[in-house]
Amino acid sequence: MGIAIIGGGVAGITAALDLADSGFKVYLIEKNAELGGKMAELAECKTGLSPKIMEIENHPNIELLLSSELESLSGSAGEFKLKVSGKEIEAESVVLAPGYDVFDEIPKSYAIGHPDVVTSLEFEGILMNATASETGELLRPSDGKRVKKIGFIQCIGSRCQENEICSTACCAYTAKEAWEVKERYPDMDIYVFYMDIRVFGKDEELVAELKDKYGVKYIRSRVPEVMQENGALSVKFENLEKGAIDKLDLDMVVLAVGLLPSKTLSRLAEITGVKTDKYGYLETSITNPMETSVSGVFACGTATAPMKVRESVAQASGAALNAALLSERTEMIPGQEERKYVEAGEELKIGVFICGCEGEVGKSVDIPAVAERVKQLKGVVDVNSETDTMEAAMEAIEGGIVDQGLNRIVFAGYSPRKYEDTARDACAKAGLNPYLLEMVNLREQCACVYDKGAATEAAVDLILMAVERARYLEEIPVERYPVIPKALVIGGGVSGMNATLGIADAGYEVYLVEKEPELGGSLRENIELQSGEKSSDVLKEFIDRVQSNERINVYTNAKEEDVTGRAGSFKAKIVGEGANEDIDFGACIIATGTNESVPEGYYGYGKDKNVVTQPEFGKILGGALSANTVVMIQDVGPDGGVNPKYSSIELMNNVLKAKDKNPDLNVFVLYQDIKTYGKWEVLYKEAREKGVIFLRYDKDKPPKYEDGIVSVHDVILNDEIQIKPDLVVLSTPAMPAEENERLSKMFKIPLKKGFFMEEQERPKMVLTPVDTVNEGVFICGSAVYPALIDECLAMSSAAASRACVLLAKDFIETPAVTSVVDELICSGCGVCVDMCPVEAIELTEEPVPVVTFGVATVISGTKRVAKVNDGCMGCGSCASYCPSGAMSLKHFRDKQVYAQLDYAV
Amino acid sequence: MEEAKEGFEPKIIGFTCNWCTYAGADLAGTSRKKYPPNVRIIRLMCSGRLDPMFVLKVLLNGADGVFIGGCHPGECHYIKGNFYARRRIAALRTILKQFGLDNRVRSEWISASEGDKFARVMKEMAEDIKKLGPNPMRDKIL
Amino acid sequence: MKGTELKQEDLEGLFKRLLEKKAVDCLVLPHKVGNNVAYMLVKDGDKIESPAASAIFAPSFGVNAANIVKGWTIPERVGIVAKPCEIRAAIELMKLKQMDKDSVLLISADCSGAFTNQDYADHAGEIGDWVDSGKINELKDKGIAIREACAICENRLADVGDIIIERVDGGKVLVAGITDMGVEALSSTELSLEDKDVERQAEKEKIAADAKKEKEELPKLSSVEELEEFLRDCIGCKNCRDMCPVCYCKECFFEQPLGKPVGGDLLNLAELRSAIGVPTNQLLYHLTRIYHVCTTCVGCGACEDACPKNIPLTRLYPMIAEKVQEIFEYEPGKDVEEPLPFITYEEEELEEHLR
Ligand SMILES: Cc1cc2nc3c(=O)[nH]c(=O)nc-3n(C[C@H](O)[C@H](O)[C@H](O)COP(=O)(O)OP(=O)(O)OC[C@H]3O[C@@H](n4cnc5c(N)ncnc54)[C@H](O)[C@@H]3O)c2cc1C
Ligand code: SF4
Ligand code: SF4
Ligand code: SF4
Ligand code: SF4
Ligand code: SF4
Ligand code: FES
Repeated sequence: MGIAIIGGGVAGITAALDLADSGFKVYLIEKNAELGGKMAELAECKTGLSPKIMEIENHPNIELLLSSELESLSGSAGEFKLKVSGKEIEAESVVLAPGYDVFDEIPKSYAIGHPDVVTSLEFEGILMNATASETGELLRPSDGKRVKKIGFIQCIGSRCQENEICSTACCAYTAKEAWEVKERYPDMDIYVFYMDIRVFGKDEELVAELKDKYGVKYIRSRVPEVMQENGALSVKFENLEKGAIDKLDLDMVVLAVGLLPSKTLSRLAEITGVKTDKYGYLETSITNPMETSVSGVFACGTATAPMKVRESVAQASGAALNAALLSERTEMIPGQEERKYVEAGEELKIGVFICGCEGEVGKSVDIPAVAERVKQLKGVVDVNSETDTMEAAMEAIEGGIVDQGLNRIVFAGYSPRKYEDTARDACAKAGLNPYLLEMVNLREQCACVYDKGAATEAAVDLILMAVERARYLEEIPVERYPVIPKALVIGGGVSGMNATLGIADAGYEVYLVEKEPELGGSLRENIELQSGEKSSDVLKEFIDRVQSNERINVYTNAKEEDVTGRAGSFKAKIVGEGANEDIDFGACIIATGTNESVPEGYYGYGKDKNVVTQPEFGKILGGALSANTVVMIQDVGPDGGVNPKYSSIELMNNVLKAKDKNPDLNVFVLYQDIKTYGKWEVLYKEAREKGVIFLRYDKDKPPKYEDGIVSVHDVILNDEIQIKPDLVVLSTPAMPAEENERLSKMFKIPLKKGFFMEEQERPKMVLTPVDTVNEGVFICGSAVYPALIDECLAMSSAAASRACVLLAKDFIETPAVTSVVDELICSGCGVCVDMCPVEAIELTEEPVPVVTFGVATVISGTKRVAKVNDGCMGCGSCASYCPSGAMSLKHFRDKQVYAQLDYAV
Repeated sequence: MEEAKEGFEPKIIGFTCNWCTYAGADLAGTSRKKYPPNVRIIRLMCSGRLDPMFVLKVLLNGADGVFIGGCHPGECHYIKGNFYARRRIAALRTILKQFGLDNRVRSEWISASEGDKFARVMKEMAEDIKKLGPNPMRDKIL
Repeated sequence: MKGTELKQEDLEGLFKRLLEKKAVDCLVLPHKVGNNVAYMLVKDGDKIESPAASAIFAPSFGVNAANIVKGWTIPERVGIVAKPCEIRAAIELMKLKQMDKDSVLLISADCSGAFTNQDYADHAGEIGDWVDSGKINELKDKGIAIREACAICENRLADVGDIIIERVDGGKVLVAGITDMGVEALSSTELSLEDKDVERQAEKEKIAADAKKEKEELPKLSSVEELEEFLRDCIGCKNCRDMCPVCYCKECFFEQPLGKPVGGDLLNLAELRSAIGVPTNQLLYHLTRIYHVCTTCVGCGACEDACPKNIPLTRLYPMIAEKVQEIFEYEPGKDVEEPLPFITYEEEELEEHLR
């Protein structure tokens, strides 16, 4: 049987690859003729996704059903029967990832219909075409004049009557679009009209930069109206900073449209029987964020709520794990077969393969002329310029190796960043050591950026350099080591426990280490969750399951130390109360959570018992509430923390509970931005309806609390307001766990503002939200950013899923590009030892043979020689220092780089 | 400023790290951000692999400019590579300064998402070096 | 600083006692060889000539003593008595593990500025055992000049190593330990040590100011063409490297196939570039060597002395190295514990030097 995934957007793609890579049969069902979903409409995103799409297309474990739709679903978990466009499929579990649609009933007041008023999605395309055009200018659709002033209006179709919730992604993607525009057209005037800026984590920095560095004008405003007079555009809006009506002329207006449930969702719900919520999204709960109302059917991505790519991808991996737990592994894991390589031989037989890259290269490079030139090079026995797709090129390469005995391959076409693995694999399949391949980036770094003529010249240069380098390439033995099917999880909060359970349920042993005496993390503070559940109840269930699972070894009051090794085979020590154990494991998950900050000294906190933090107020609400007037102040506390994503939501939650207890209670909320993401927006609405007063203060004029009086400068009224509260409640930033510094060093994972960084950060999307630069080490929960519980659970399931993909393998190849020392040349200076970021070099010492004189025996010295151990990651810092070149980085040896340099000029 | 030398097309050699600047250059490509066709990129895994000797060698070979690109400080894929690279490049340029070659060498931190910055730097470099004129070492018998 | 004043003629006694009391197992000391001065490695204290002071302070420079003890990685302890620049080179070599910190006792002695050893030998009578600035100028007028490296040296007074020997008026010396190891060694010779001020700040500043002036007057290289001309006579013998204390490689890059192409490799290059100079890589060699020593060069001038073609390499190596050392705020040879600039970094620095 297998697993059926419905929807081929980024979420569906991610889930499919996680499952297929760990040996499950996958049916990927997409109603369009192409994979990619909405992301494929965004230039930069598309390229990020295309290698994954290619992987899917070539994956032996994935059956791709394009232009197909689910017609019926019967049976139950473990034995579903699906009918997909007439075809019958049997599956043990189903993952729904049908995505979203954007808001399209834009009111007339935005002058929709005017050619220069476009939606953010349309704008992506315009921007893409502009930069690809001859001049690169951004031109007005209406008259082709250069755009000089552009306005973005946020929250179109969100937080309104038609759609009361917040679309979560628009603030961030608007920031990204504004940034892209500013990067390309620094002189452009950009205005962003917004109500609140709801961004968190890294996007917060982006917005700050936009305001301070790029000069983007963020205008807090209400009900902007777009007007046109004789074709000229202007925006009329209520400026909430000044409390006045303003008007601004613009050349172009971009409407940041909100996300809505996919139009196909209701039909899908009907067919599968899963429940939807009142907004039309698939119903899930905050403690089971990927489970639907039908057992065995899981949901992920924007079908469950509006969200960004990173959250979608996390949910997708998480859903994959849930689905996997109900299914049986039936397939082989690709890349696990033992490969035999033929001897490359003495005589150079270089094959050059020039690929047209779906016509892209041919547009500006005269391929036949390049081929003609390259043919004349010594040692080049074959030049193939016939292929136009990656698949065809790979076939040609394999053929060339097998049929003509080529022993050096130069592949000119796609970027090696995207396809080097694929191309190396093709060489390996044909029996050629994969490090005898050299790639030339003809597409991205030549054809796409240079004009005809110049591109041809550049192509010749680049291929010449590559051929020359190829002459000096060496076979690097590909070795494999077994994967240890065990995992280490650091941190016993909900994230850590959830990850632990996921891995253990998948059949692997797990070490769970918690530094405190008991499991539970921040949730031990008994709070009531947004859903009304008590955190203690949620925790109890997790702890019971962890403790009763015999594959899980729990260590409390303990810490992990001395981590060594790499993906698939790590070693560490667990030390602590009653524990001093050496362990080995194949994967590791870091879930160290956050620390609450104590706002000691802020507004008299610590001295005045009427000043409490939001969680403390939560506890007060557990009993009777005597106060009549409460003032809540957001964003209070020491520097160095970050604004938690749950901050405003927690506040609303408490406000509403307090209002329930005491409907006459006066509540004043002093804020800078209210960030009630997604569906939590309704809490904000409800609070306003119940008469809670929201007063916005300026960062530079924070509220004061003196002699029992809170005074605040209200920005909107532009006046000082005084309140005499019985209770002041502070919302504070979250601090990174103090363990993070140590773990960051030990695991070589960089931190940003004290929180762990994902493998790759892109402003627009994070495709690998739980992977890190250290393969085999994953991060999740509030250790990544202070997140909501459902997000923590999704992330931790995702981390477990990624870990399982690794643990499912039998073998892993040792990294080939590492440094080696020529012992005869090394003078033992030890500089490289100090330099290596991962301490992979040791200086060995041995006495130099004894010289005997008549009277005395002396040694003539100590021979010191550097040795590289298998921790080397291949950065080459050591090789670049070593003056004599005793240290060299394989595949990037001096002579290999020199060869390129000699032909570069 | 001196006017650009007529008809002179500089040869610029770019050393980029795989994880950031090379990816940034790719992004410039996929988003079709054109820049002058003067640069030939050599991919290193990390700016830490840049041995200043490479730069000396290629300048003596006659390259008119050398570009070095790496991840932003603190964001190196290998944690510290670019910190070391920065010291080496600073030393190298100080040496080259004595011989008036330093302004042919430029390094920038360009992340994977800064395709625009990559294109802009390439453009600026091409212009700057056109103004400088050809490398005096071009066509020397060395 | 713990030290004591001695008569100059008591120095040989001190060295003997260092050997006798096993503070060191052997000593590298300058001694007079005819009109000249050279180093010897002494095991037996009786071989120490008298007066030792005249050889120690004699303004003659042959090899850099650090080069002699390069590779001293044995437990037996050697003491080196040498000029400050030589001691600084030794300290750099310790950082590069080319000698063991605990096995080498560094003793620096004041230097007045030195002549090449052949100049010294030729004019030993006129020069004598010590020169002051007046004497230096007087000799210069006669066409006998101190080495350019010495003329621009800002740190001639002993202030590095474990022990320093300062010249004091009245035929005396001040001997002081400036590290624990130095104080211990001196104490073992049963000298009674007391706190001494060894700073000599004003004198140092004057020397530095004079040296700076000299430096400014040296001809400067300002273009790569000028460099080419400067090195026109270079025959690529690499003596400059071999005599340089801080060029520490077991096999220099320029002895290996890539740095010193021969045969077919040479022909390939000629084919590629149409023509190449032979021996090739001259400019690359010097530029690379400058880079390799740019943080560690102590400005001793040994490279210039070594050049058979009389190329004034002081105008190249130390002059450029100094600029690099400035940006790292690094003084080579000052402190063994100070890390080499290429090993460390600050998170935020040097951006102004990158573009
Ligand atoms: C006061 C407060 C109120 C909140 N209210 C809400 C709310 O209303 N709604 C909502 O959705 N979210 C809320 N949250 C957020 C929610 O609690 C967190 O997002 C979630 O609990 C984070 O889970 P975690 O597992 O990532 O981190 P944590 O629960 O903090 O768990 C991390 C665990 O790792 C342990 N650890 C740390 N370092 C090590 C180490 N080196 N070795 C071993 N163990 C280690 C810690 O001791 C801790 O037990 C609130 C958070 C706080 C602090
Ligand atoms: S490999 Fe090079 S840098 Fe490392 S110890 Fe040997 S000589 Fe020094
Ligand atoms: S290549 Fe990088 S990781 Fe490997 S030994 Fe050298 S410095 Fe360490
Ligand atoms: S380069 Fe010349 S001056 Fe500098 S340390 Fe070496 S020999 Fe002395
Ligand atoms: S020139 Fe460079 S490679 Fe040669 S010995 Fe000196 S430091 Fe080593
Ligand atoms: S010693 Fe003189 S001739 Fe010999 S390599 Fe050095 S500079 Fe050239
Ligand atoms: S990987 Fe980019 S600088 Fe190190």
